[in-house]
Amino acid sequence: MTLPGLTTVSGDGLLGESTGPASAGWPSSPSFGGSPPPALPALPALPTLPATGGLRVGASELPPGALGVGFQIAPGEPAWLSQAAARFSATAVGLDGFGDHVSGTAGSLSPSWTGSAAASYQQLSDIIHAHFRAGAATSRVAAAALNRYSAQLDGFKKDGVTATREAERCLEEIKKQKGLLLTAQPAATAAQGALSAAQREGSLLRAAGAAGAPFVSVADQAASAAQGKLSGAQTDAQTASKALQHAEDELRMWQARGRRAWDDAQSAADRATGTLLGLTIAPPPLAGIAPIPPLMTTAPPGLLKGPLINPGGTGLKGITGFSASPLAGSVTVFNREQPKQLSPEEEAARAAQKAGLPHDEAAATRARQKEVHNEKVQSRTRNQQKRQNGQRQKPKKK
Amino acid sequence: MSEFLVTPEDLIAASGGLSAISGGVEELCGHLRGASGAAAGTPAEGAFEDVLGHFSAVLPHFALAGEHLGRAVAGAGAGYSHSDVEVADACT
Repeated sequence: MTLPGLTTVSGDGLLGESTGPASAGWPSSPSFGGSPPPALPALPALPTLPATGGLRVGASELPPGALGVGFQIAPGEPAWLSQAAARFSATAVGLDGFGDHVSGTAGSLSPSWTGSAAASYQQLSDIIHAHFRAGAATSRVAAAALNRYSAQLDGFKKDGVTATREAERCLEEIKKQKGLLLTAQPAATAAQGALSAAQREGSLLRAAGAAGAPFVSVADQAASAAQGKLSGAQTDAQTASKALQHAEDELRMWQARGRRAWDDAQSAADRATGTLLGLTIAPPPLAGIAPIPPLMTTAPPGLLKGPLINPGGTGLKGITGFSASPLAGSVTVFNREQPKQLSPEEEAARAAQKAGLPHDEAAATRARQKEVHNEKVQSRTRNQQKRQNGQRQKPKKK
Repeated sequence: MSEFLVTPEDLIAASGGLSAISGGVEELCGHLRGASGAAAGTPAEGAFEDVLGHFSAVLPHFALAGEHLGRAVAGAGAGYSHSDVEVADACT
């Protein structure tokens, strides 16, 4: 892995082009008056997704007959979600490493660079470091949410596959028992007919007295045989009927499990959605660009300890701008607040910020999306509850 | 009265490492973008692609932050060196 265009710093301080691999291609830590800054981190190994760029889960992926069993297996590919989580984790590691490099460089320069500009540089480095750390924390939250969703989806899909397999087995059993029932019922009817005929014949022969007496035993034997057949056919029909009932009950149970796996997968997706929609990262301030637009991050509280950008400026107290002037060859710091005419958007952003609301457009959009998502989840939960209540209160068929 | 101490060569040397952050962050960003489609077909697809898009949009600013900081430090080092030479020339 080469990183083209990277400059590396040789021991004598001259700049040169990097030609080596990433690990060697990162700029080597220069030797300063103080301690050297940490080396840039090597990028962690990242998983690869197939070149198609996305897996569309359709009916073709479902096991045969999955749609015929009355439910579907939850869509999605857990392995892909897990790989996406690994990429967010790698991003977190990378951002942390780069942030540490910014901080380490500032630390290594502190003995050999003092003064007003140096102080501003140190402060800006702190802020940039904090942004990198916040970005890493947010990335970790995304990774955790995706990992959790991946693991849950994996379980629910397995449940769905098991339920599908069992439901299909039940359907086969139902088909078989219905066939047996269809065979046993006509046999019973025929045996019943034969029995009735033999009994009727016996009655007539008995009524005929002495003339019919020799044939009575033959008729009785025929009646007895017909009775045996009738009993056998009735037993077969009862057995098939019981087995059919059992298979139908079992099918309903597996269908309920399959639907529950689907619902649970939907809920897991809802939770992941809720977490992902709440994530925003704030861009760090740029040296030389003033004033820096104030932005907020939604990285989870407790993960951030350092300062983020200070509202209304560069993040440096009392400093509205920090610029590099290549011509003058120095870092310029404006140490006085300049009165500034704010645009309506900036006024709105500042008002929103005072009210504690996310005020950058992206954050506001994501906040609105989250509200819509929450409404959808509530609606789905209500529907699920209604369905469950309906199943419980379903009146028995008369 | 302003008072400062500086070794301009150290600033120039440090700027290379800071500027190199840019390439690393862009590489991370590219890898992250490659995860697109991982939640396809799931109800979380929209949120996933949304957060991926957000990261893809903001991470380049992190790259720029490293680049600008490196450029500012390099500019400061060059400026200090230049001023030092100019003042030295003026005194001779």
